[in-house]
Formats: sequence, structure tokens, C-alpha cells
Amino acid sequence: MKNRFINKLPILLIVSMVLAACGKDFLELEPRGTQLENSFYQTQEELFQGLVATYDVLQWGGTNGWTMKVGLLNAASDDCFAGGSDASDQPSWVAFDGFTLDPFLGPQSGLWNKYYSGIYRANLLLEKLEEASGIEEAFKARTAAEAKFLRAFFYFDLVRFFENVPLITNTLAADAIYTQVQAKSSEVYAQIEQDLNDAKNTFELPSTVPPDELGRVTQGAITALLGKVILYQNDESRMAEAASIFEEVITSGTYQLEFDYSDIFNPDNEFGVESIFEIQYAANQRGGWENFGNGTEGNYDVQFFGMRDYVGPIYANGWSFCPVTEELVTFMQNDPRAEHTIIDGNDLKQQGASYTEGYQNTDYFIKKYAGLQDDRATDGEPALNWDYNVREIRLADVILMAAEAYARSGNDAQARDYLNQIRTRVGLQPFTSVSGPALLDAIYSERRLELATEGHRFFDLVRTGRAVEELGDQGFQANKNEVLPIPQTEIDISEGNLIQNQGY
Amino acid sequence: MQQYFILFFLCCSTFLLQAQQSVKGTVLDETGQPSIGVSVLEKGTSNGTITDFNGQYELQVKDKDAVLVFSFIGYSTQEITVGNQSLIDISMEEDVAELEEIVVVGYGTQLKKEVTGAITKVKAEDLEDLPVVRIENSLQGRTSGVRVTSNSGQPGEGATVRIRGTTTIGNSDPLYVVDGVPVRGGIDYLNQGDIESIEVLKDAASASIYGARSAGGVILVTTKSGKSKDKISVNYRADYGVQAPWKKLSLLNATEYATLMNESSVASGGAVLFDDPQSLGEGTDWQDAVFNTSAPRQNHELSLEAASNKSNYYMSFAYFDQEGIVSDAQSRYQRFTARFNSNHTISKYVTVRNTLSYARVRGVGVSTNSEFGSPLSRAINIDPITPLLETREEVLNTSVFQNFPVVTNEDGIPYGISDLVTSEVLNPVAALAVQEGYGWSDKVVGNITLELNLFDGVKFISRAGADLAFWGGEGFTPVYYLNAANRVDINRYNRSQNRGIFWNWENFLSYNKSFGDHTIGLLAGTTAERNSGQGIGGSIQNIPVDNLEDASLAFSTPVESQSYYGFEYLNTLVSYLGRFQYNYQQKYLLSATLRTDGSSRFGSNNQFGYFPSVSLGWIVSDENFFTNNGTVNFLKIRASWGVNGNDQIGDFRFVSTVGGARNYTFGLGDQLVNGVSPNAIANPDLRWEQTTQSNIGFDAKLFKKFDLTVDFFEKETTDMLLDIAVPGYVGNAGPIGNIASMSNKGVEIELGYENKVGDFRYSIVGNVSYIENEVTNLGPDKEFLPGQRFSPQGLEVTRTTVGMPIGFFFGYKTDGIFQTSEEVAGYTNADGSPIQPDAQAGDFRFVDVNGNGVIDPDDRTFIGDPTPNWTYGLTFDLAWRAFDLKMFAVGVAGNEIFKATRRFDLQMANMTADALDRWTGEGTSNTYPRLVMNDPNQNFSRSSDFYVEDGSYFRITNLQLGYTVPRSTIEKVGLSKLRLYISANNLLTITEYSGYDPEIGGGSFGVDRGIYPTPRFFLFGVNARF
Repeated sequence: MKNRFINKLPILLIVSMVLAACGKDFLELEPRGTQLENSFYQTQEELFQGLVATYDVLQWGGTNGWTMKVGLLNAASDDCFAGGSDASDQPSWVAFDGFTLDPFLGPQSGLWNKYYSGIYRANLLLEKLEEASGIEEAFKARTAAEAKFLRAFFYFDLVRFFENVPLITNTLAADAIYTQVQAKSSEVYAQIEQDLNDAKNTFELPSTVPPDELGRVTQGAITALLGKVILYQNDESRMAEAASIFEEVITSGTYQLEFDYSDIFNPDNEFGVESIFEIQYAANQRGGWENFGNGTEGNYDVQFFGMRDYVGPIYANGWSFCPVTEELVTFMQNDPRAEHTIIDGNDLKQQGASYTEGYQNTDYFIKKYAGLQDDRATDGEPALNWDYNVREIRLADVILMAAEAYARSGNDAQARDYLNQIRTRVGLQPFTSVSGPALLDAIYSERRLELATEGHRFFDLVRTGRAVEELGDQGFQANKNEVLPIPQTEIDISEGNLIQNQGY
Repeated sequence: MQQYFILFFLCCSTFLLQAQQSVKGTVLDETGQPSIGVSVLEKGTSNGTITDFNGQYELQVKDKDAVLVFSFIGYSTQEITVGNQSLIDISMEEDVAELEEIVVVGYGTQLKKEVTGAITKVKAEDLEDLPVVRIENSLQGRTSGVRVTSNSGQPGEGATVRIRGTTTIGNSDPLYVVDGVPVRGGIDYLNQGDIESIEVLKDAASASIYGARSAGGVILVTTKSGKSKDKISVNYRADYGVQAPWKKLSLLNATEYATLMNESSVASGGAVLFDDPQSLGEGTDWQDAVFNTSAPRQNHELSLEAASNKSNYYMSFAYFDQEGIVSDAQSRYQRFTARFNSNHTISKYVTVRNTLSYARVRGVGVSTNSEFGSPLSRAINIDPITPLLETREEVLNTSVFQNFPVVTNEDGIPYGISDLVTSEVLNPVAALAVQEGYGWSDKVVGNITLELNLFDGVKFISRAGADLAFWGGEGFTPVYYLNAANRVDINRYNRSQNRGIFWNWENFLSYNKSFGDHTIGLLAGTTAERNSGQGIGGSIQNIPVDNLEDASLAFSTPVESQSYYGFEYLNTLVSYLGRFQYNYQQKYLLSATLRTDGSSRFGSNNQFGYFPSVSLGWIVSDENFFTNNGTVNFLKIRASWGVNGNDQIGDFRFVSTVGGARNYTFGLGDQLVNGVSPNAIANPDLRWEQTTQSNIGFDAKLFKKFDLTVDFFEKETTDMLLDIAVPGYVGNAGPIGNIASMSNKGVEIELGYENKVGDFRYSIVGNVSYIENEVTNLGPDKEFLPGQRFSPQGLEVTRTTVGMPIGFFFGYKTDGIFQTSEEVAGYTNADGSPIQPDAQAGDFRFVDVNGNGVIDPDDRTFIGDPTPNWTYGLTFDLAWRAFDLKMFAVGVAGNEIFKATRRFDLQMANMTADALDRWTGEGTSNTYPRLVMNDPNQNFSRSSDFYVEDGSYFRITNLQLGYTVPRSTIEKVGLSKLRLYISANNLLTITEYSGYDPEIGGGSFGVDRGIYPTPRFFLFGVNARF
């Protein structure tokens, strides 16, 4: 018996040795297929990927449902209705269109999360750039400038949509997560201006980029946005300053008006001569429905604006959102830009086309982002892969803003001159004598005609105090609907630190 | 003098003994035959004898207070007070009782009598011939403290198992340990017929030997081994049955629908939508179109077993096939399993055991509880006017039917497309027709155990186990048009293949020894585990086929049309464990355990966790002072305390990882560039969740016929891992942290009764559990956690709040319906202004819960609890000669269900027939509001108690009548057993709930979005042994 036990001792020994070998090493594993934050952002390439992730947020249209900026702003304006298949297709679009928004209903949570995600990525990148060592200074400077532009861009949208938002310029420490309070909008604007000025003063950030970098921020984009930000603050004493900033863009020689208005939104003419800043969309991510959210690179607005079940020439079908109002049709009826702005469904029907009439059908559809049959994605889910860029800032917009800034700072002649540049481009008669408030009205009118359905109208009406007058019949209430409600979930989680916007 | 005294007493005692009493009698067994060798002992003395060949005995006892103890292995011990009797005949009763029964515990076995924790055992014979496919279902209603809720009625679907309530906000699933191997993946590879016993470790003390994985309770499964001595026993069991839904919802028919929609439209100032509702008739019955009322299911099992002195084996093959009651082709589950278990005693010192099983599963399913495109949700919500098949000429001539690839049936007739209800609410039959795909798995689980009897009482056991699983699926999406928002222009085929391997290796030493009245047991061991896996999947578009069978990834298409993905996972666990057991005279019992778990999932600051436990038992009925008065035959009191952990927190959650594919494009040619950002915020302190539980209970046998077990427990879960919900302005997902805590307390009672009257033998076994759950802390930053949401608008319908049970229903309270506009005007706040100024007669009167004078989101409150307080099960067995009747029933009480079956956001969605009793004028209804488009008072678009119903139910899950053919008849054909039976399942459900099924498990506990109900079915079965 004793012998037998001794015979087995080696087994026991082996077992205990193997077990001793297990231990800490066995437990300390490295994840495979993913990288750790604290070992990332070390190289130029990694930092650049951080910048790309910040750019990525620009094109998000699927945060908490369908939350495309252009489409939503069109629906809210008097250019378009909400549309869709029926009233219950996209309740938050219908609510924005009819101003039946409440803290639960509306596009607010998607927009809120989208912009703050972008701000977080910019903040993180700026911190990582600060910490990174051995990185080429020129790269660092340009990357930081782009991150600041993007942060400013996101805050500008955020403050326009919500007005009262927390101002966060670094990644939040654990004890700061729930304690943020809303900043005054003037503080937010000051931060935006500071970021833009910082970016503008970064000489490593170029005025023009080579073709393979198109879509990246340029000095022109920074300057144009800075002027726009100043204009939006409605401080009459700064209108001259805004005008001079716009002037920098206009006279830079980098941009010129398209000769043919229809070329601006020609899908084959992305980054055309008039384009100052575009948000890039692409089909080559080839996302499917499983990637819906923000996993595709497609422009969902294009799918939204298309005619439902359309069969006929030229256009691809879509979901009939944002049908153009008869009011806009009437407003533009003698304008040469109308045919490049609005699709007349009845015309197409006469040519044998057919489509299903959606909710709030007017038989008029948006043409500027209308999807063409030939451009429909052939891989992935076509509805999610339209590659049409959003012309976020184009020269005509800047010229009209310059005209406005001049008019509001008493330089009517220069204002008229700029207004007329826009008019004569499409063959309209220049104004020769209009001045004062009438000139300003003419500029606003021209903005609507020139920029119809591009998503500018709602903010233009709000910032110029004309929203009640123009949108009152839609349900717009003054001192309330200028901004969206703060998402209720955000109010709930902040435990009293966030205050709901007035009227909601 | 003293010596004399002693002598005197001795004499006296001798005198008394001899003088007092002589007792004799005959001991018979149950069949009336003499019992030989039964021990007859005078209690508390060594005075005793055994019965002779005629079952007779004779014994001198000291006085009439003497108690005779009759005992024999396999029979229950009886005690009889002598009294004035000199002839005591008794008949021994077979010991069904459990006391000598062996119970499997963690890393060992124990006599049931000596168990000090709260462990329930479910034996194979309790489950024999029951139509149970998955182990979860076999536990439903069988034991107290275990609540099992089917996830749905879809074939092969699992069930949600909660041992002593929901232990955590996270993963409360129990740990399954099969023959010593913790099974981390699916458990459906186990064939019910292969299971010998299931032990449920409920209290902390029993479970804590499994350390960081035991907080949800532990379920130990032991598979069969060969028992048939020196003879190969072959067993064949089969059943075949037909299933059907047991309930249809009463929905509006076309005429009713049109009438109500007209009313609703007109009420909002709109037009009459349907000119002549009567002409629409009944319309389409979408439920009939979707339900499969004759869905077959069949099961075949063949097993072989044999045992010799040296070796034994058990092998089995089984096949199971079930079609679903929703859609015939798209809901089906097939499983093949095989098993080989063997034990070999190589020498006195060496024993080797193995288990090995293989399972192949193929399943296809539909969405079971979703408002976004489950067939039943579509059937409930689509309008009854749209025809199943479109035959109307004028519709077929429309552009849609002319130009788009609409879906057709086998005869080429297009399915109807609703122009009234859109979005995800498609023609359910058409949507099923374009769904092509299935999932599969191949799984091998086995282990090898080496047991060395080293020397006196010392054993060394080494066990290595592995679980190797392959799984995947394929799917094909053809080109189709279902409605404008649901169309596919380019076909797509995808396939995935994954592999996971889990292994563990355990080594432990045990020592068991008795020294006189003292018995000790020691166990010390280590274990190591590694769980890893990887998968790949790919898809291809625009291939030249139109169905799944022909689809393949091998078609050559442009690279842009192809995509792939991959993933991996890995985690490890190292543990040290020990147990000390001691008992004195098998009367005072003590057990203490300690386990240390180190896990790769825990942050570097907290890599090892310690999980102690201690439990005590006292068998009161073995005490001398305990007089057996015939009422209490056995009594054991138990108490235990212990700590359990939960490591189901995902891998590498303590570090912040970065994720790619946050892409953007630059350049004219849209060059896609990879973008990277952190996935969430980090937490290096991350550790296991901890549950501390105390248990007090007793086991008793009463009146020789009743078995009673009662347990009281209280458990407190702390450090619950919570995805810290952070405000959106943080800009990224929150980290997880050890934040929250929760308590569960309850009572469990199990009572069994057995009796025999003439040829009838019957037994009733019941159990009932009462549990209270309360979330006690969600951290300093939060008052609640959001829970379930409903509809595209994300209506919040459940919440978890401190001081309330987990995941309670959250919404507005209604207080009847305004019958008149005066009532609206009269519903005023403190200032005298109306609380609902915009309401009209027929609208809900919402309760201003916070009393601020308006109805706002802060008025949302507790409106129901999805978790039942009471859970019970009842088994009734009756045998009469060759016939047996079994009835098994389960039930829950004290819970509510949120009936979210109608898509309120789609105005034209169909309604249930209770809409016919809506408010139409003063006094018509105080429960169902008026119908009006746009619902200005938000009668339907608010989460409110309008949607909450009582979820209690009592269900007879199985009623079985069996006939065992007499042996004499079957022996001629070589059979040793033949039982034929018919069984009715889900025969009767008593509930107030108006939806399909009150049993709503799975991820959306308590929120019914049109759940796939459990079927009712009848089957015929045969069980034969050769």
C-alpha cells in the first residue's frame, strides 16, 4: 500500500507544478482584435484616426432614429412639409414640422447625442495631441486646428438647435459627469469663436487641399464659419467685422460662383468651384440595415426626399419626405432657379412616371438632393448608401451673408453689389436703388430663393425674428419654438442640473 | 454501604428488566411477506435483535416506556412505544424517503440527511416521459425558489431561470455544471432522457463553492451511468404530437375596423375614410393566416446500458423535431444528440470515468416578441381590409404591382400590400415568404475523471473537461417589394461560422473519516479554466440565384459586393477551493467552504475574489429528548450564510478599448479612411458582483406521509455592475462600475404527501415560493435606470428605481374617463384652473400624481410589477394497477403584464375587439377612451395603467395517462417494460390576462409585444425496455 502511494507521488507533483505555473500570467490577457485607449494615440497615424472619427460625426444621420439635419430643418421651415408615408411614419419629423414638439417627441435626443459625440471626440483628440510626444509639430498643429474647427462646428449647430447647452471643452472626469450645467449661449458663442480663431491662426492649416484631401477643413471653411457665427449673434455692432471676415473668403480667389446654377448640386460636381465646405457621404462603406445608426456613410436625406415607389425616368425612388410647399413653389414661380430646386411630380406623371402619394403630398419634391437612378448604390442597402455630399457652406451663401452684414452695418452699396452678384448669376435683373430695410428684405428674399431646401431657411427665420410671421400658421410659437426642447432623458439623468428650455 | 446500594440497584434493574416486559412480533414487508434481518433495537440502549426467517423477533425491554426501533436498509425506520403491548406486528414501508438518498453537491456528494444547505433535487423518474426538450423547462414548477419562464413558444427557445429571484440587474442566469464541467454556452445540447438528476443549489452556502459564478444559483446536472447488472438493457422511447395555439386574440373585423376608423377620423375633424364599412364584411383574419394549427413534434430516444463489477456504460441517441405554431416553415427546431458515459474501476485504487456527448441543432425562427416585425405583431396590427392575396384587378394594375418585385405565393398570386398600415407592419405571410435562413450548431462536451484512493479515506481526483462548440448560420434575402420602406433591390446571402472552446481542469484532494462519534470531511482543490472562441462571417450581394439552397459565397462577384467580419473572445479563471465538514453523531452538522476566484475579467486592482460560507444543521428528531409522538417523524433544522459572486460582466470591460470603423471619406474618389475612438470610459477597479445570503430552514416528515421543507432566506446583492448611464453631453457610452445593490427575501415551502388506499397509490407534491425584490441602491448619481421601451418613439415603459422592485412598469395613472365636458372643466388644481385644459369628454382623466397642477412627465409613477411574488408548482400522481395518471401544474401570482401589442404610433393599426366598448358618449365606458385621430389627449400614446393587466396564471402544463402493459404479456416478445401514454400539454390556463400568453420571459420581461405563445399539444408516446 505504501509503495503504491509512492508510485503515484510523481503524478501529484506534476499536477501541483502545472498549477503553480498557472497564476497571474494565466489571468493577464491582452484583448485581440481591439486596442486599448491608453496605448493608442501614440503615433501620427493613430492620432489621425482619432481625427477621422471626429470628422465621422459630421455625416451622422441615424442617431436615435432618422436625424438628418438638412431634412429636419427643411421640414421645420416653410419650404417643405414633413411628409413620409403617413402622419405616423416619422412622428418626430411631423412634430418638428407642426411644432408639436414636447420633451419626449421630436428629433432632439438624436441631435443632442450626435453633436456631443463629435465634441467628445474633438476634446479627446485635443488632449491626446497635447500628451503625444515625438509627433511632428506641423501635423500636430494642423490636426488640432481641424479638431477645433469641428468642435466649433458642432457647438454652432448645438447652440442653434438648443440655445442652452453645457459647454464642455475637455473629456469629463468621473466626478464631473453629472454636474454640468448649461452655459449662457454667449459663452458658447465665445468658445466657438475662440476655436475658430485658433484654427484660423494656424498657418499649417492650408487654404486649399490636394484632391485626395478634399473634405478636410480649409482656411476658407474656417473663415466662412467664423463670419456666419458672428452674424448669427445678431450684434449689430459686429456686422462690419462679420462683413470683413466674409470679404476675406470672397476675395481670397479660392472660390467663385458656378456659372451654371444647376451645377452646384450636380452630383458629379462635388467640391465645385463654389463649394467652401462639404460634408462627405460615400457609398463604399456598403452598409446594410444592420449598420443603420451611424455605421454607413450614406446620405439618408437623399433616400428621404425621393418619390415613394417612383417608376419613371431619371430619378430613383425614395420615401417622399419633405414635399415642397405650394408656398415655395409660388414664391419661386418666376425664378430661374425654380427648375433646379423643385421637381414637379405632375410633369413627370405626364411623361408616364408614377409614384405613390405620401403624407402631405403636394406633387412637388426637392431637386437639389434628388437621387438619380444611375447613382443608386449597387452594393449594401441602397437606401443607406447615397453618396451625395451636403454642400454645407457655399460661396453664394457667404456672399449673401456678406451682403446682409454690409446692409446691417450701413454699407448698402456693397450689400447691393453682392446681392446683385447672386441675381445676375442666374440672369435676374440687378437691383439698382433699393436700400435700408427694403434692401435687407431683398437680401432675405434672395437667400430663400438661392438657398431653398438646403436647410438654411429655418435658422434664418429664427435669427432674423421672422419665424412667427412666416411659420406661425404651421404652429410656431414665439419664445418657445426657436429652439428644440432639451431631451427629457437628459433632464432626468442630470437630476436638476439641466433646465428645460422655455415653453416646453 | 454504597456498594450495597449499587448491588441493590443492579439487582433491581435486572429484576425489573426480567420482570417488566417481553415483546415479540412479526415484521412484514409491503407485500405482506416476512422481512428477514430487520434490526429491532430498544431506543437509547444497545439492547436489540434481528428478525428471523419468518420475520419474527422477541426482545426483553425495560419498561412500558421503552421504544422499539425497527430499521432495515431501504426501508424507513419505525419507532413504536411498547406500552402495554406484548405482541407488536409491523409492516415495513419502503423508504421512498430520501434520507439515505445521495445528493450531489459542489465537488462531491452528500447524504441528504447531512445536507445543511438549501438544495433541491429533481430525479430522472420525476421527469420521465414528460415532453421536455430543454433542461430549463424540466425545472419549471418542480422546486420551490426556482422560477422558470419560457422565452416564447418558438421551438427550441430557452427559458429564463431565476433561482430565488432576480439577483442582479445584469445577468441573473444560474451556472450550469454538467458532470462537473461548468457549461458556459448553450445548455440545449442536453437530452432530457440522459439526465439522472438535477440538483439546484439555492442558498449561498451550497453555491459558494462555485465562487464568482454562483450568485444566480447553481444547477448541477448529472447524466446517467450504466446500472443494469450483467445484462444489456435497451430502452426506446418515442412520442409524436400535434400542436396548435390555444388562444386567438379577438381583433376587429373589416367592417368594425372601418367603422371605428371612420369614427376616429370624423372625431378629429377629418373625412369619412370608408364609405361603406358593411360592404367590407369580415375581411382578412391575419391570425389564421399566420398560425399553424397542426404543427407536429416528435421525439425518439434509444439508449443502451450495462454494468459489471469493473465497468459500466450508458449510451444514447436521440432525435427531436418540432415545428412552430407561428408559420410552418420559418419556425422549426431539430436536434440530434448522442452520449457515451462510462466508469471503470481499474483497481482498488484507481477509477476512471468519462462522459462524452455530441449534439447537432438546426433551428429556424421568427421574431418572437417585438413590435418591429414579428409575424404576430404584424397580424395584430395590420388592417383587416387588406387581403392576404391580392386579386383585385384595379389594384394589380397599379404601378406598384406592375413595376416592383412584389411577393407572390406558390401559385404566383401576389400577396396583399396594405396602404393603410405601413412601416414595419407588413403583410406577415408575405414577409415570412421572403425570410430564408437558419442557424445551426455542433457541440461536443465531455470530461475524464481520474480518481485515486490513495490511502485510508484520502482520495485524489483530477478531472479535465471540455466544451467544443461550432455554430453559425446562413441567410438569403431575395429581391422583393413588401412596401415602399421594405424593399430589397439586390439580393444578398450571408453565412457565419464560429468556434468556441472551453476547457477546465480541476484537481482536488478529499479526506473523509469517522472517529467514533466524530465524522470529518475535508476537500481542497484548484481549478483552471479557459474560454475562448472566434468567428467569421461574410456576405455577398447580387448573386445569380433566387433562393437559399442555391446561394453560395463562392459566386464570383465584384469585391465591392463582398464583405466579411470576424470576432474573438477570451477569458480565464483560476480558483482555489476548500471545504471542511464535521458532524457529531450525524446529529450536529457543520460545513464551511472558501473559494478564491481570479478572473481575467476583473480589473488589475481587484483580480481575486474570496467567497466564504458556513452552514449548520441539527437533526432534532435524533435527540433522546425528542419523543416520537407519531406527528413528527423527522426534523432537521438548518441555517447557513455565505457569499457568492457574479462575473458575467463581459471581457476586458475594465479597460477602455478603442473601436474602429468610425470612418469618414476624403477626396473626390471618396477614399474611406478608418476612424478610431474609445468605445466607452474605463474603470480599472471593476470587480465581481457580490451576493450575501442567509438561509434558515427545516426538513420534516410528518405523520409518516408528509414531507415538509421550509426555508426562509434573505439575500443582498452589492457591487452590482451597472453600465453607468451618463448624460448625452458626455459624448460616449458610460463605463461600467460596481455600483448598485438589491435585496431579495422570501419563503419557500415544499410539501409532499403519499398514500395508498387499496390498489390506488397516489402522491401530491407541491411547492410554493414567495419573494420580494427591492432595488436598494443605484449609486449616488442616479435615481433610476431606464428599462424597456416601446414603439419607434421609444416610450419608456419600465424603470428600475431605488425602493422598488426591479424593472417595474412606469407610466401615468388614469382615473377613469371624463364623461362630460363639465367633468373636464371640473378637474381642477389648487388654483382652480383645469388640470387637463385640452381634454374632451371621452378622454382619460390622468392623475396629477405630484400635485403640481398639470399633467407632465413627473406624474409618471409605479403602475405595476412584472415579477411575480408567488410562484408555485403542483404534481399529482395516481396509480391504479397498470394505469397511471400524472398531472403537473404551475402558476404565478402577484405580477402584472404590460400589454403593448398595438402600435399606437400607427393610427390605422388594427385594434382588439375591446375597442368596440370604447367611450362613445356619457356613461358608455369608464375604461376605454374615445377614438380620435392624432389622439390629442395622448390617451394611447402615453405609457399608462390602461396597458397594465394582472399577469397571474395557473396552468396545467401536463396531464398524462399511461398504461404499463403487464410483464407477463410482454416478456414473450423480450420486453421488460412497456408503457404507452397519451399526454395533453398546456391543456388549461386560467388567467385574467387578455393577450396571447401570460408567460412572458426573455429579454423583455413583462412587456408583451405580441408574444409567440406556448403551444397546446397532444401527444402519444411509448416507452419500451428490452
